[in-house]
Amino acid sequence: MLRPFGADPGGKRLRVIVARVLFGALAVLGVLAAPAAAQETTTTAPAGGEAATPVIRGTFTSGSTPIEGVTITATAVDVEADPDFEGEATSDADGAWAIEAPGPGVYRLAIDTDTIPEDFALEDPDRFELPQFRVFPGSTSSNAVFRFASEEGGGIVAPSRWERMLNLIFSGIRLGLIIGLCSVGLSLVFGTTGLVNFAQGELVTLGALLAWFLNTSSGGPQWTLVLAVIVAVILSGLFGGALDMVLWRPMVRQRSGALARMLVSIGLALFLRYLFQVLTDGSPNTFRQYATQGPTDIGPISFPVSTYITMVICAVVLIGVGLVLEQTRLGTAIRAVADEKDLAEASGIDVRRVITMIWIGSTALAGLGGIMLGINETVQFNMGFRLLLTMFAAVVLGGLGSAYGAMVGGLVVGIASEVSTYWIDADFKYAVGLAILIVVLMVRPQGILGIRERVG
Amino acid sequence: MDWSIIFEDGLRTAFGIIAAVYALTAVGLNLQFGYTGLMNYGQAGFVLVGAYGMAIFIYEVPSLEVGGVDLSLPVGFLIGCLCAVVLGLILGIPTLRLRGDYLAIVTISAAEILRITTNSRAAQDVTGGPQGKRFASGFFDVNPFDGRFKLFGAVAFSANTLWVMVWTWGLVAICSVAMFLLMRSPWGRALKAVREDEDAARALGKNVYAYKMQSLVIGGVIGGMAGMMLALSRQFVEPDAFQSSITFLAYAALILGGLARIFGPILGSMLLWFVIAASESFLSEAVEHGFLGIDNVITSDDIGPVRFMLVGLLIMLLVIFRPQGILGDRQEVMLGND
Repeated sequence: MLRPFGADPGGKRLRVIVARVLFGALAVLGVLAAPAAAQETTTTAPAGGEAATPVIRGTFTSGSTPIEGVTITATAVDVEADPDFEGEATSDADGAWAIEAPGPGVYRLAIDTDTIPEDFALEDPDRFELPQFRVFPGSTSSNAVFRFASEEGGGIVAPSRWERMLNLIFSGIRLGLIIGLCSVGLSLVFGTTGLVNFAQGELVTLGALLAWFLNTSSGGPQWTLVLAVIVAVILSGLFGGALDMVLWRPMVRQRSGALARMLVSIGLALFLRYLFQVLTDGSPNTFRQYATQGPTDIGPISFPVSTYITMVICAVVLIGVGLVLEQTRLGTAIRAVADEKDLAEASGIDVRRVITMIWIGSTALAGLGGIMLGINETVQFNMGFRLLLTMFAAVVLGGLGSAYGAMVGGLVVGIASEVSTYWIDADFKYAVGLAILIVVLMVRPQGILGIRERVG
Repeated sequence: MDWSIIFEDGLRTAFGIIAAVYALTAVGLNLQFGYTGLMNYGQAGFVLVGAYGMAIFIYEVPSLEVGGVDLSLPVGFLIGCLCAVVLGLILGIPTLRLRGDYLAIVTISAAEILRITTNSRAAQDVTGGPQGKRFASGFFDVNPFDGRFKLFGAVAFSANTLWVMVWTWGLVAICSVAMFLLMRSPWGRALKAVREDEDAARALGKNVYAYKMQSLVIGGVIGGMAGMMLALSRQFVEPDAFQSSITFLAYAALILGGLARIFGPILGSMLLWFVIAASESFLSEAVEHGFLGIDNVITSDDIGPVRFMLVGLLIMLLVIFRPQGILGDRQEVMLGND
């Protein structure tokens, strides 16, 4: 018979667990409640004049070329602070524009199509306006996106096919490195504890949100990005360690199965994700330094500087993880525990300590991955959840339980999803990674780097 | 604070369409996960193909007169079931021979692929894309009910809602009875043997692979039916209605009620939706009336997410403290094994 979780009569210990879980949750609330509280004050005192007025901003570009001199108007549709508001802005040399809005609410944004230079055109001529653009309470900056055609028009040289392909591959490597960073921990945790952690996505989000709070949020300390990132990564790691101590370790001690822990991780993921939504109002945000940035060309490859930096950071950190695993005593212990837990324990390795270290490291790496993702895209409460399945795909592709597998799998999935947009609709980008996963499982169930074992 | 409103909202949802749809979804999951031990995390995908299969057929063939009877809806229903069967086979063939984790990851991936595909512009001609697809099934034309109906003297339902409720709860009842009979049959005992010890079942000459496949397909078809009732109730399908949260909420309902119990999914779904609706109603009342100063902590925009936070907490606490749920048997629950 299978042993149910919590079979021992010590209900006291269970109560200790729940107390710890709740305490942990409160601690997180305490850390993250600050921005919410700060936002509260800004929204309740709009007339005070001290509150930061929200800014609606955006950048008009065609591919990578900024479009200058386009006029855009914002008209209040449902704005409490000023129901008759009308604002206007014209894009500068970088294509950027900004309109100071009187307060949160719904605006109609419209481009004056006569001001669009001759060489440029909207991708869809009917989409010159956003009739229901929402500025969320508490947000200081809301991005409006208008899509301009990037290939039509005599003034723009369409990138050649191989240039486009090269950029897609590059973008795929970028995505792959980020996925690798986020999912190394997922794979190591699975390898050592057997847990398929559905809350990994939320750990990714946590890092990005912490960094965003420390760097950009109006209620935060507004540190420079580097300092914010370092502190956010450390806090993420501590959160992972705390999670292991208050939740996973007691569950393992209660002899609860991998399945029970997987279901708990689903509950944890739901809880954290919507907690993040409550704390951030759900709107997407960008980091202060990287709100708008033009591309820099390296040969035929054209990306913002921040992309190059994040790629270097990801690559260096991933190599560092490899070195730690190969060269240090801790790394050897981790590999030993992942390989054969009982044998590792018998040879004198403190398995519990190693697992806590893995949780700290995994969560810190996931947090860093989230920050890198946030710099390249936006910071939002569900950013990690959207990446979760792709991370699973990477981990299974590379071989469940193998750290290098996660890196290789991440690159394969990242490049495949980006490059697929060359032929098929970008809507299918993430579906491609998942489809590859299913196909690979049919041919090589142990994954690319996994070791073949007989299963079922 | 009007506590009776909160209670009524809870009751209305617990007996309403949504709870019935989730009960049906969870009945399918109960067969797969509770009785067979298959970790199907893509039940939302089965719900989706059922709903879209039927909706697209009825949209393309609005009337199918055979001998003076319009068979468009019944045939559409069968097509929906068939779609779920096909999905079950596609998912089962590569993964059922592998370790359970693989099934979990492949099913959740497949459900997501399906949602992305129905949502894409490329598939817009067939699925309607993000705007969804409206279809006229004539389901409400044969509604025998008229006027408003009251349950327990207070909770009112419209005639159309009641018509959907009757069908959906009816399907729940039929599937539950079928499940009860199946589980007393040799087939049901073989399923439980597969769950308890695959190798032992194989050693006794059972074709484990075939049993798992049958369980996955039948459970999937039940999920597909849930999707079809959801689609019929709105005469409309859209990709956003088939998020993976369907799967997780159905799991929550199943665990709450009790795994591997005939009434588990039904009780679980009604209770879960009572809690969700009542807490939502409580929160909005509390925010409005400033109950216990709660309006200082959250705003009315936060009620939706807070509700999901409660579901997440509920799942965690249940699995930790009462993995067998309300009706479950500790001896039979498999959550605890290692």
